[in-house]
Amino acid sequence: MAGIVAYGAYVPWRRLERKLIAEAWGIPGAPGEIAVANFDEDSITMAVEACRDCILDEPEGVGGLYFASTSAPYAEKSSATLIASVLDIDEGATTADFGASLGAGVAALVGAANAVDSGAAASVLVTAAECQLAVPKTADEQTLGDGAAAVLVGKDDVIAEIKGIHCSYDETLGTWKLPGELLPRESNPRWFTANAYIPAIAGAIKAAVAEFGIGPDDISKVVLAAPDFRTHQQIAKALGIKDPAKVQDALFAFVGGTACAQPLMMLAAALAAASPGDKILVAGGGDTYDVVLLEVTDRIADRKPRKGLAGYLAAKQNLDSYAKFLARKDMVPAEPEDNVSSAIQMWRDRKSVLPLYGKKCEACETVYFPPRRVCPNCHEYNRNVDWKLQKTGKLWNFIDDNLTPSPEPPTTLTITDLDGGGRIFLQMTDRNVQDTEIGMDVELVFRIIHNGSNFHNYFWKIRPVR
Amino acid sequence: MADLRDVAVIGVGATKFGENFQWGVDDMLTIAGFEAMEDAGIKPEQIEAGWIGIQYPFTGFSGATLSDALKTYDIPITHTENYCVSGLDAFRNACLAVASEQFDMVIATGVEKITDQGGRGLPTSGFGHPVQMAGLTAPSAFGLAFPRHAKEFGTTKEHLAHVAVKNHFNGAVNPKAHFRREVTLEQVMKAPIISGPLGLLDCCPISDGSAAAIITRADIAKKYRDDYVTIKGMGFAAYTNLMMYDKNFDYLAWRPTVKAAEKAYAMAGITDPPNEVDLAECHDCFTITEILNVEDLGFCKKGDGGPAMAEGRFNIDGQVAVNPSGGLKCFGHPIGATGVRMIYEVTKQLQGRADGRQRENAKVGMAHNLGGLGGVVCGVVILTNEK
Repeated sequence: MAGIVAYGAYVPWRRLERKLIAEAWGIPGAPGEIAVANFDEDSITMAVEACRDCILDEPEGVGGLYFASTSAPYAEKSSATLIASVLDIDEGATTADFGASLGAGVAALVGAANAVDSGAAASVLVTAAECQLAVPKTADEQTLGDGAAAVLVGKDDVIAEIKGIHCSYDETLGTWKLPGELLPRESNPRWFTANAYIPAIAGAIKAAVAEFGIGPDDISKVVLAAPDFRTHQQIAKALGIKDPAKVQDALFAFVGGTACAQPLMMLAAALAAASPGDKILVAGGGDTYDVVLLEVTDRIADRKPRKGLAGYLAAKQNLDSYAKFLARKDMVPAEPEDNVSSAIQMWRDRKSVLPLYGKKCEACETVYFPPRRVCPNCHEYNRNVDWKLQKTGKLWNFIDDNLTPSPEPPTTLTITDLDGGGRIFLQMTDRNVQDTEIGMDVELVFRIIHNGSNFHNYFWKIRPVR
Repeated sequence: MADLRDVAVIGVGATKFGENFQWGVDDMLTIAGFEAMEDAGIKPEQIEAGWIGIQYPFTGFSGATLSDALKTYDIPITHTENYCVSGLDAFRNACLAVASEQFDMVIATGVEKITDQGGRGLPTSGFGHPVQMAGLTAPSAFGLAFPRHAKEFGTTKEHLAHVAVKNHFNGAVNPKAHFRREVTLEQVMKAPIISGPLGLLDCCPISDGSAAAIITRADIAKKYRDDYVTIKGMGFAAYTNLMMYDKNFDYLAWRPTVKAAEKAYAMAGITDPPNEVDLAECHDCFTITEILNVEDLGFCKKGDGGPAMAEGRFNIDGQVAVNPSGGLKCFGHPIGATGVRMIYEVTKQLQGRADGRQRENAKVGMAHNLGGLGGVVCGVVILTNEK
């Protein structure tokens, strides 16, 4: 059977202490904090981060990309193809978008395993990301967080083998969004979890374990998707798991509930702590209740270093006000932007805008961006090759600009010399304004630049290497 | 064919610059155009060709914007667009046409009507690539020179402030200036920050305005007035919109200024600019822009712009009077009008008619106009009253 070849995760840099929400409204506050996407992030950009953390910018051989989210930036228009294009995955890959349900993340993992097992794809990169909006003052507002995960499913060099898959579903109306609405609606959360969610996920796990022919003692870790902290504990109780060490932390304390991305983020955390031979049970929930059993192989020790969930969690900056959180969530009217774009131009420039290809002059060896027919250095005409730019470099010059409309001025405009060649003009993000200095090491991240011409315009920015 | 040096300016006109909410494009072109014709002593029907510098499409399209205002129907009129150099390029093309002897009497104009657009700063939406250039503003594009210049030469924010203090001192007495007040070093230093080191008082304002010049050959000019001025040197250069991507660009000098000045000085036979140029209208959209420009024009050594400014070497009674009009900073900067407005000022100075701001014994004056987000294009025109 197929297995997991690599995994990655992403948590946005900004966090908000729940007590700031509680203080703003004068209501009881939960402990801990939630991860808050920056105003230039959405579920696509966060998925890109998680995928890059997973495949380390090496897309060669990746045969597919499945994207799961209940908060995709387009209601119609694939996010998977955009992410695949940014990652420079071959256009012959299979792509699909999963959504509409909290269960979509694990469903996408199951789909990927099936595609690999059937031979339809040599490997599939599964990514789930959420950038959610909650109704202010509700419990959801303190519960939900933003984040992403990615898992590369393949047959060769797996670090965890998929030993079994069990699928089921339950039709109960818990949470939903109507077309054109960004905020979720709900029936009765307490009724829903007690009568639908908990019985369905516990039942699925019990049936799966029976089907897989394993006992409770065989399982090292259980990844339980849950909409909130209390439900997570109740599922573990319903399953009769006595040892809390066997229950994978659901990330509510420092990330928040990340909907369909949650089980894959938890899986990334579980794999990071796993040893060869460990059995990990992953259970998704919400409409679709799929269960996947994994067994960790010796290859887990060979994993190349990367930021991973722990790295992203460790690097953070807390927002100092609830108002800044609301602004990031587009709950406060922003200064109108007058940006314009062109779908046709963005199509023509897709190779330079998305995977960031420049040119290398064959006459003088200069690497340059944006790609042009005439070399800006030696002026040779039409003697160049496409050249993928490296995503790291050194800050050569910058200015903090207060004039460009921004939810949080200043906008740091930079000139960066990329490792491996090429000088590029990019905005800087996720930084402390006072810490920016010429010569600092920076890395490129994929972000929303603006929403001109009524679509999302993405490009690269830089952030300090952390 | 006549020589470019046989081309003469015999009349100039300009509106008051500023937030001219009460005037439209047509009003301003008419006021500037008729003032220039009256100054030259000619009638509209004598004009054989016209040029009009406009940058923004919302100000106007085509040469008809000018013929609509002056009712100079049925003659060739060309719209020039070259960023902030749009007006000076209108003047250049008018001079070339006269030098070619295709026409004897032409008008060069410039106009911009920005305040109808509301908003803040200059509109830069649609400049360049939708995402690659996003966020770049005029002050940030020029302000990017500061960190590099400061690192290399020790230029300070206080050096920049001296530019604003000087230009406001000059412009305060100029009846057509956008602002008619002086500013102190402290006011400039403490003004709210717009971009990097540039505070509000380091930035030229958003202005409306228009200017016009009547151009003919020197042999014809004599029939109209004795104090006409002639072209002594002219140089233009375009570099790139993508300087921030150019590894060969160091942000220590505005490359088009250097190149345009080289050409203009060569034509004028000027080898020692600070001692051969009496005054210069020099592009000071932002204070840092002027610091680099005075170096690039050879008025001081590279890197000395800041200290030389602080020493008063570019005051109205300094070695070279830089921006006796008040410059873009104080006089205002309606983009397409500015280049022609510089010709207006230099002409007045060389005619001894710059009331209250006259550079004494002015014989050679320069109009230096730089445009684009950062130094993309530049024009240098050197005029003289020496016959």
